[in-house]
Order: sequence, then C-alpha cells, then structure tokens
Amino acid sequence: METQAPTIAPLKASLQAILQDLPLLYPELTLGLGVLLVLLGALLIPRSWRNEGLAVLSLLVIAASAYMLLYKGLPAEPVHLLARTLQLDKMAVAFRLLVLLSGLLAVLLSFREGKKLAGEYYALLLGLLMAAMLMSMASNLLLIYLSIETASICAYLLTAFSGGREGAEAGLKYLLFGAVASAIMLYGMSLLYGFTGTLDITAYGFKSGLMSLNIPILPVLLAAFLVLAGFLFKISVVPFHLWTPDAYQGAPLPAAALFSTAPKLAGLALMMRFLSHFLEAGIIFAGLRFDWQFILGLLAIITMLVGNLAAVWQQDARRLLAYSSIAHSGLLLAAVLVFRALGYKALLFYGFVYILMNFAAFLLVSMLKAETGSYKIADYRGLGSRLSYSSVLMVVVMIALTGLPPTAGFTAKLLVFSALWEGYSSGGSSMLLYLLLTGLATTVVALFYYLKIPYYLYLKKQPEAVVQVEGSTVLERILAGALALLLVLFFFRADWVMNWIEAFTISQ
Amino acid sequence: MLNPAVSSFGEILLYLIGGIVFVAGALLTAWIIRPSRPNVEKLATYESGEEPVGSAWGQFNVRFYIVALVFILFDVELVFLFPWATVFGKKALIDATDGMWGWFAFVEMTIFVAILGLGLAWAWAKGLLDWVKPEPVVKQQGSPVPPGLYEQINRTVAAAARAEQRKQKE
Repeated sequence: METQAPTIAPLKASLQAILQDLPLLYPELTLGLGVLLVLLGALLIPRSWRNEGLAVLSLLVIAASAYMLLYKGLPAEPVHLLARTLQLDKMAVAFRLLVLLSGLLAVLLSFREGKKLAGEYYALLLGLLMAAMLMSMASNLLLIYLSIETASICAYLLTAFSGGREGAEAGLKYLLFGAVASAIMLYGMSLLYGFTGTLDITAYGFKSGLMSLNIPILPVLLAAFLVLAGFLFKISVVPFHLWTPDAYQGAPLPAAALFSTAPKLAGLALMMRFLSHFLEAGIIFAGLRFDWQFILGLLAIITMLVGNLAAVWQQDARRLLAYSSIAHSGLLLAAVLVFRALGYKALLFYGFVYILMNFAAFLLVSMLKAETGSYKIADYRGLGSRLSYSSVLMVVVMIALTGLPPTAGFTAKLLVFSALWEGYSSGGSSMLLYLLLTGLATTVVALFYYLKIPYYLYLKKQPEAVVQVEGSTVLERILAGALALLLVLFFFRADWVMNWIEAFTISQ
Repeated sequence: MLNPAVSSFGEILLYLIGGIVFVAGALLTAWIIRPSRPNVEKLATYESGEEPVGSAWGQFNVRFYIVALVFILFDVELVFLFPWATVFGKKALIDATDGMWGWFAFVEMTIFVAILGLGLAWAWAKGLLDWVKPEPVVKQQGSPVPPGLYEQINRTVAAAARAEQRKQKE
C-alpha cells in the first residue's frame, strides 16, 4: 500500500483526461456500438428482410460515425489521446474519413452478396473499419499491434466467409501469412521496447533511446525492419504480397474491395507516422546516416514491377484486380517516401481517387458476374453490344485505373509523379527519380492489361451460347454510374478535391 | 496479510505447496470414502470418454469445438475478473479519485461482460449449443416380403423353441 502512494495523485487527473478524450473518439465508439447493434439485429430482424435491414443499419452506423467525426471529433490542434496511445492530428482525420468512405461503399456493394451471408458479415465489416480508423491514429506500439490485429482477424474471417472451398483455402492462407507477419512485427516491437524502455513512439525517450551511442546500429535497424514488415504486409507490398490474389479471389467481392482500400490506407498512415518519428532518430544515430528512402524505395519499385507484370498473365478478373492493387501499393508507398507536404497531398488525392475507382471496378466485375455468370475475362467476349451500360462504365474505370485522361486516375498519378520529381529536383535522393521512372514505365505495362478487358468487351466476337444468369440491380447500375461519373468529374474539377485536402494538410 | 518476511519466491513456493496439498487431499479423501469395486471399464486409462488406445487422428464431432470455444471464452473472462476484483474495491484508489475509480472499473467490466453475454446469446439463438444426437438412418431394403410375414415366422419359431424346451424339461 505504501508504495502506491506516489502513483495515486496523478491517477485522478489521468482518469479525467480519459473522460475528456472520449468525445474525440466517438466515431470509433459509434462503430463499436454498431458492431453490437448489427449482431443484435441479426438475431431479432425476421429473415425475410434481414439482409436489407442489416445493410441499412450498417449504413446508418457509418453515417453517424462520419457525422461524429466531422462535427464533434475535430481537434483544434494535434492532441494525444488516452494516455498518449493515440495521436489525433489532421492526417488522422483525413485517413479516418477515407476509411469511412470505403466502408460506406463496401456496404452499398454488399446488398447482393449479403443475401448469401449471415449477419456476422456486416458486424465484421464494421469491426474492420473501426480497427482501420484506430490504425491511422495509433502512436503506441501496443495499440499499433492491437489495431492491426483486430483489422487482420476481421479480414481473415471475411475472407473465409463465402463458405466454399475457395474461400476456406484463401482464408487459411491469409491467416497463416498474417500470423507470421504479426509475430515478426511483435518481435521487432519487443526489441524496440528493449532499446528504449517505452512503447510510445512519440515520446522523447523513444528517440533518445534509439540515438544513444550504447546501442549498435544493426539491431536497431533489424528491429525497425521487423516492425515495418508487419505494416508492409497490411499494405501488401512485395515480398509480403503473396496472400493478396488468393484472398481477393476467395473473399466476397465487397470485402475484397474493402481489403484493397481501408486497411491499406490505414497501414500507409501508420507507416507515415512511424517513419516520421523514426526518421529523425534514424538519420543521426551512431554518426551513421541510414537511407530509409533507398531501401523502402527499392521495395516500392519491386512492388510496382511485380504487381504490373504479374497482372498481365491473369485470366480471372478478381486476380487481375488483386495484382493491380499490389501495383497501386507500390505507387502509394512511393508517395509516402517523398516525405514532404506535397507527397502527402498527392497520397491523399491518390487514396481518394483509388477508393472510387477500385470500388467501381469491383462493382462492375460483380455486375458482369451477375450478367454472365463468370469472373473469367475471356467470358466477357463481345458483351459490349449486349450489355452496353456496364461495358461503357467498365471502359471508363479501366482507363482511370491505368491513369489516363479524361479521368481522375490521371490527375492522381500526375500528382504523385510531380511530387516525386519535386522531391528529387529539390535535392532529394536519386531513389525518387528511379521511383518516378519505374512508375512511368509500369503505367505502359498497366495500359496493356487494364485495356485487355475493354478489348474483350468490344473487339472479340461473342460466342453463340449465351447464358443470362440474373441481371444487375437498379441500385448497382446507379452506383456504378455515379462512381464513373465522379471519376470523370474530378478530372475536370480536381480543385474540389484539392480544396478538401488543403484543409487536412499536415500540421505537426 | 502475508508476513512481509516472505519473499516473492517464497510466495510461489507457498502456491506450489498449497497446490500439492489440495490435490493430495482430494485424492486421499476420495480414497478413504469410496467403496472399492474395480472392473475392466473402471481400470481402463481415462481419456475424456474416448477410447484410450488407437490412432490419435480419429474424427471428433465438430460440436466439441464450439462448446470448447464458448467454455474458453468464459474461462478467460473469469481470469480477467479476478485481478479486476482485487483493484476494483481498493479504498485508497477510490478515495483518491472521489469515487471515479470505482465507476471506471465498474463500467469497463460491465461493457466487457455484456459483450461476452451478447456472444453467448448469439451462440444460443443460432442453436450452436444444442447437442442434437445424430438420427440413426434406418435402411430401407425394398424387400417384397411384408413385415408381418417376418413376425409370423418369428412367432412360430419361438413357439417351436418353447415346445422343445418344455419337452426337454419333462
């Protein structure tokens, strides 16, 4: 009892601080409550309209969360929350909004697939969103691990949710890779804790502990790389990308679309936060300058090459989108490596546009699946004349994914490339130039495989036997049209998005 | 209160001794009060109701896993509840925070238990806790002989056997 006396005095203050911080976390708490509500709803809502009811409930929860974020959860200046485990700044707010946007689209896409799935599906979806939002704020190794793990467990379950053999295989692969990645990350974190004696990466002790001359540079670098491996796994950067094609193929389509956006963007935010604290320490320690840009840049280049070149050989539309998502990860990582406000703005723009075009692509693949009964690109032969609406939209979205005008995909790529060039020409490392050149070269490769789908749609002859399984619904048609329209609109009105991003420019 | 002279390792030793005494006491009591009537079944090695000898690759009913999962869920809950209970009621902490400490601990644990309760309700409502015995499938042979005929034969055979027995007794 006597030993506890000194810790009691600040206890009241820290409890009060936690109570004060709670309003800023209402968005996450809303989602957490939403998970429970959806589970209750799955028990209580009668089977006849359960899927629709749960989807609408999830939409309401996401909308409420976004409302809380925009009207209650904006701090005037960067703050640390919950005993310095979370760091809430404008960057975190921007990434949380992007996560919510992708969650909204994922629920809208789920109306068809949801019929075949049980009520837990929406609960897991909301859980994944909550974890991704926490990931983009976490600044404590413990919370970083917890949020990544929550997101991963939801993702494993969602992957295996379709129930079939394919889904079970994909889920198991994802689970095994994920477990190894998080074990590696945890080991790195334990080393970092051993070096610094603190879990808080924003604390002064963390930096000074790493910079102290007593520790040789090699173990510190090893620990940092082990931790980064866990992040790179979530972003699906080569060599941690092996789970991606199988998981996207086996998972329900809306869940796959969500995997390629929300956890990826949150992982990028986490990486930016981690590197920004680590970089200052990493540059100086032991008198040696360690070039993070070089090593991570190398990984980004390999990711772009592997993603794009492997996508060329894919016959299945879902696998093609998976490799395209790996390729996009490379480019997003390149934008992170600029380490400047410009690169950050480009990253946000790219992330926003990427959500729109990726969900549009997955939605169109699901519509074409409903109309042709197949995910094979070869089965899209000659559909251009029969299914003119979906086909035209598919062309627009594929052009956007390639990064060609007149779509916002072009603007996004242009911004990333110019940020890389700016970074290089204002005295940055020559790695930025290599990243830029690889990005340009792989865009040409991307042209080849993305335009394969329009090629099959319009220039190939339709086979005689046509099976019409079921048509696409009106909601799907409207949503796909709206997404494609936005992609074109934001090419001409990129300043609307830029104005929004300006409001969230880094202010640390 | 423990004697402060006992070191931390001394406490572990006390736990060890206590554990051994507890188990040995239970066995000893059972040995004293139970009647001793051994048979083959009782003398076989106990293996959770399974056949103790044979391949370990046998297939288990999948319901075992669900029940085991639900059990572990509440087992872990209990493990959390014990340390919680020791700090929940600490008067010094409650006084130092004007009672806020108690409310925090109470609300946090209520949320935790409520979530687990919802999980149990879910498993219950989904029928995962029902232990339905598999229905034995009766094979339909499709024989042209009506079942009544078999019964008739059985009766005749039984009557003949009884007559035989009576004869032998006489």
